[in-house]
Amino acid sequence: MTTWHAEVHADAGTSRLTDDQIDTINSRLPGFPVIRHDASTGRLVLRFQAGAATAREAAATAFDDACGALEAVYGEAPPVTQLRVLTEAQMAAEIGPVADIIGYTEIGEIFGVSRQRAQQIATRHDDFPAPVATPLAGTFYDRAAVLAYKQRWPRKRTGRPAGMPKGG
Amino acid sequence: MPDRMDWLISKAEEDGITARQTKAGTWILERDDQTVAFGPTPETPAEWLGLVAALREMGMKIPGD
Repeated sequence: MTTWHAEVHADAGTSRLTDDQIDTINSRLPGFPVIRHDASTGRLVLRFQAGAATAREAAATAFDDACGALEAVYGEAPPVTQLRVLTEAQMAAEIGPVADIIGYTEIGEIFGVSRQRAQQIATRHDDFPAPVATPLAGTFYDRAAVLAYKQRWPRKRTGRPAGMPKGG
Repeated sequence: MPDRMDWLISKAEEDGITARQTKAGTWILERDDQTVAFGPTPETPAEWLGLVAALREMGMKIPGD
């Protein structure tokens, strides 16, 4: 059984989808559905995952799943205009490289320190990888660059040197 | 992938895309006539791939471009 990425296009009209319609489609499709609608053209694109042994079987299953979800919203499924199924490798090749974004919480997990300490490491070491994105709500780094930095990270031990007596 | 979702939503808002959630937890990102809905949270790289494809079609710049 292979997991296939399905992409089904339909002409769904130019009315915006309501929250209820979106939730209905989302709940009826397998895998992790992503719905994209362009109200200027009426094009609706449904992306989701389908398990099947062959591309033919995956395409048939994806068509049925998409039509079932659309019928639940529209009564009669709008015309399907395009259908594709891709393996994960094909999908990854088509999408191209995508940075694996992480923040201070995950950096802390990688280094085995708190989130606050992770932020200190990232901001106080000049050779720490530069953030790949700094939107308003935070600062984010590329996981691969952080992992590479950890390999050469000179972790400083705190506390008393070995052999130092506990008392004053 | 909580950090990634934090990044995604803040990046979307920075790009002029409004982000909100339905009562069921589905994320809805909207800009002009474009709507992308998913949710609640991608858990695997495979799930992230489909989302990146839709967001790039919407005009979002995802690092790695």
